[in-house]
Amino acid sequence: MTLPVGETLVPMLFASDATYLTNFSGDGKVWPLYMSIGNIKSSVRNRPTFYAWVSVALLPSSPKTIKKVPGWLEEKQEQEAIQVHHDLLRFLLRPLSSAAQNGLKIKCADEVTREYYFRVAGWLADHLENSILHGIYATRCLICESPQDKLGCLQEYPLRNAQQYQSWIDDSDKESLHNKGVKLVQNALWSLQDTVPHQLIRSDILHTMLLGNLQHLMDWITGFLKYHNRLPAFDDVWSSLPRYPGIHVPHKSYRLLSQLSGKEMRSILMVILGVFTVVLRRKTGT
Amino acid sequence: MQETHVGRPPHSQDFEIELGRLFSEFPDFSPENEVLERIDYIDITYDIVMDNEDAEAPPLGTNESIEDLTTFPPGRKAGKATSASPFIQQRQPSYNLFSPFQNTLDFKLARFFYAAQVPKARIDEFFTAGFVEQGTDVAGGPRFSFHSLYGLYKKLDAMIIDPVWNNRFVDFRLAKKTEFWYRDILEVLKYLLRLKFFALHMFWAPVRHFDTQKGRVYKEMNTGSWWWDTQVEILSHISDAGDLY
Repeated sequence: MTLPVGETLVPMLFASDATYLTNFSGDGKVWPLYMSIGNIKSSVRNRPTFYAWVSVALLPSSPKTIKKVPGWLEEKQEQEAIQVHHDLLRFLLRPLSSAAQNGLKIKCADEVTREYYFRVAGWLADHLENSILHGIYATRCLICESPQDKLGCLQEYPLRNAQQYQSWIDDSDKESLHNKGVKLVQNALWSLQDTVPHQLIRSDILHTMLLGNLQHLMDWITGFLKYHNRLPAFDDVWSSLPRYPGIHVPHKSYRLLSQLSGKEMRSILMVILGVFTVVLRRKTGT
Repeated sequence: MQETHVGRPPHSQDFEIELGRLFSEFPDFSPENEVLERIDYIDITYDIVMDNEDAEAPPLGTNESIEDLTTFPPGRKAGKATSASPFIQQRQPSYNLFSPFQNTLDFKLARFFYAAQVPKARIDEFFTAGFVEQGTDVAGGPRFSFHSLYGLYKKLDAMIIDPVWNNRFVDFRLAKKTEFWYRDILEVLKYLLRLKFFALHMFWAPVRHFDTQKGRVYKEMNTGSWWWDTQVEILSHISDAGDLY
């Protein structure tokens, strides 16, 4: 599991998301795959103008599923699409297998040659993308084997076991796979050196926090204020926020905002508690 | 008499006596501990006990850096260099530090055009207006390796060698010959590792950061447990690691 003494670890980070290009002129949908390395300081890596994320592949998206193809059901078409995607990923990751085992001598930026060992350390993607990558139904947990109706329970379930699933797939034991919510796909991530597939999943702040919890919180707050006739006061306070470095001050009242960018949502998270407190302290009618 | 000294300004001589009394009565007392107990937070930017002081990459071109590199982190030997840096070695006479530019002046002119954001038309004008002689330099070669905007851009492009794009076809059952594009993943890794710009912002070894209360502080990726567990062979280094690990 550990590396030979003196060698250097290069954690590889991937990011992918299916992207629509056009809706009408053909199936304009591609699957860009980006890569960076964990050796770079995070503040440098995450700045778009430093180009630390390099595009590795533009994979084809699956063709649209077509109804009424004789002997070729829609479910099968979907399964084939995922299988092709995994075959392509295996094709892309193939050069890693020998480099991860034996190391690779590369001359580095500081003019020093080191022996590098590459490990896949993270794969940034949203839930739907992860469910395709890990070959697990989107309605199930990707990390543990919790049943579908027990999601959100405090009870602990065993973690996903790729080796077990691989043996079931080799035996084509469809019933066991279905019980655990695993698709019948030869998974590319399962054959990676020293990698536990479910540990690659990283938190998706945009969808869980900003689009999920923040949206829920704002609905709750506006509903509460409306019930207590304090919505106009909320709009007043909201539109009179002073300028502050690092915070995107909204020009409109909250109710007039229709679509929020990620930056605006992060600014809302910073000021919402203060705004809410001020609104509650105001006397009604003023 | 001693009670009267309490509350005196700290610079007075009586305060020294008072401090001495406190030291003798409470052996654990020290001014630093006193400060720590009063504040209920700890500023981690100042109180981090660096496990490895040499975690920062050494500056380019300094002669002392090689010792830090080969042995770091001390006693654990990760991120070891397999060959020394040419900055320390006797460099070959043919080695051109300014490649693809031919000499210092050539490079400086290009850097000036780029950094001063000289308009494109003006760069061409600079060469056609005869501000520089198109003749030879002292050594007998051409003075500059580029004589136009086009030449400058070609040189700038040659500074970065991007990994090449390849294309192939894949057959879906219902969509034969679907094209896709990819880069060799090892070439991309080499590209990321050799970018000079990142040289001062890279880590080669895991570190552990602790605050004053011996709690772990997580910051960058190499301060995490995963990197440590993957890289450090605990058993072989337990002797020189001490009780901290």
